[in-house]
Amino acid sequence: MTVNNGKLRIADRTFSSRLLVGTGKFASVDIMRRALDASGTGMVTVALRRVDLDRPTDDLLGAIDRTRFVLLPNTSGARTADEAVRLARLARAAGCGDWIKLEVTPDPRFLLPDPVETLKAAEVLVKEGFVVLPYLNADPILAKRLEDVGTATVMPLGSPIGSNRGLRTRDALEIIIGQARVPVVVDAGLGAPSHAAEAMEMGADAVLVNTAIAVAEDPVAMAEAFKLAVMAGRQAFEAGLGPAGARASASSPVSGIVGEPA
Amino acid sequence: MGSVQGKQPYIGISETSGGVDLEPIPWYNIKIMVVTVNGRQQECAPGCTLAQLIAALRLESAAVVAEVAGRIVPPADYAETILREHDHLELVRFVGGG
Repeated sequence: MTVNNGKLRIADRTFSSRLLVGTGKFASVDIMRRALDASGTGMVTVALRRVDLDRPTDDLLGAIDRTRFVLLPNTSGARTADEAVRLARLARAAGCGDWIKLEVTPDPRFLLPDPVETLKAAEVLVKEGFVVLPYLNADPILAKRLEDVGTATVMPLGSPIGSNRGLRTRDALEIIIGQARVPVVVDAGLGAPSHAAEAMEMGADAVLVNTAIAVAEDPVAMAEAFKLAVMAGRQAFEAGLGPAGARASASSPVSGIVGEPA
Repeated sequence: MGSVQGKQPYIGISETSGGVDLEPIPWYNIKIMVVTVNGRQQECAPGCTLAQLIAALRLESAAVVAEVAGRIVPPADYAETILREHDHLELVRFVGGG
């Protein structure tokens, strides 16, 4: 957890929004573009895939204003460290900077990240000068190990990618946030603005949301709802939440109650 | 594209290849080279460059990143990268993702 006058700082960049938004699953490029606007985000994730030779005019990059949004390519699809490194190098060759969201997910059913391969790939990519934002399970020791090899953030999951189940890893996230010296971005599984607000109230530095926005009935309105939730959660964190207790603590005065014996 | 029949253009002299200036070659003199692009067999002319192939596939070269025979080729080098028979190419681009 890092406090920096309300601004999020990752590597050499400062962001006024603490919401990162993914660009997958939108029904159209136009809806995506309007949702990105409404979200207030300054950083968007993209994936790298083979060109569809039967649809040569597809062009996502043309739809993303890169003067407003930092592009964060991911290594989705990689099942090993080697595959992730290959994808990262290809992404960098596209000339869109050297930031990379490292994800190594060998199991398609839960898309949980492989900790060993992720750490291996992170070491290689950091040495090659990438700004590495690794996706990891909410494992405090792994988060430390990644930080130690020089990653720019850690991005622990709340629940499996696209599951919309919220912060199922809450206890471990608290430990990660408490110990981190790099920004903690809670990634994956945030299905409602309340989940995002909860992560921010806990002291997460940012959250990354894709599915919950993209598959909403009104993605543009949902993007704004997440923006507000992230702002509210962050402000609550900075304001300092009151302590929780097992018993009631009256909020009205306990003396001078009408009808009481004097 | 890549046809040896009739007068259809082949890669390297296609009208859509971005103004590549080559002499038309009679169809009976055309030799065909085969490369693999994204797992698919693709015919092109011997000596065809990566830039010519990308143009013939009607792709926007600025949006495409290439890997030729396991080596990443930055867009600036497309015009100088000459393809060889049976080269395996991966042409990738950014798509929506989380």
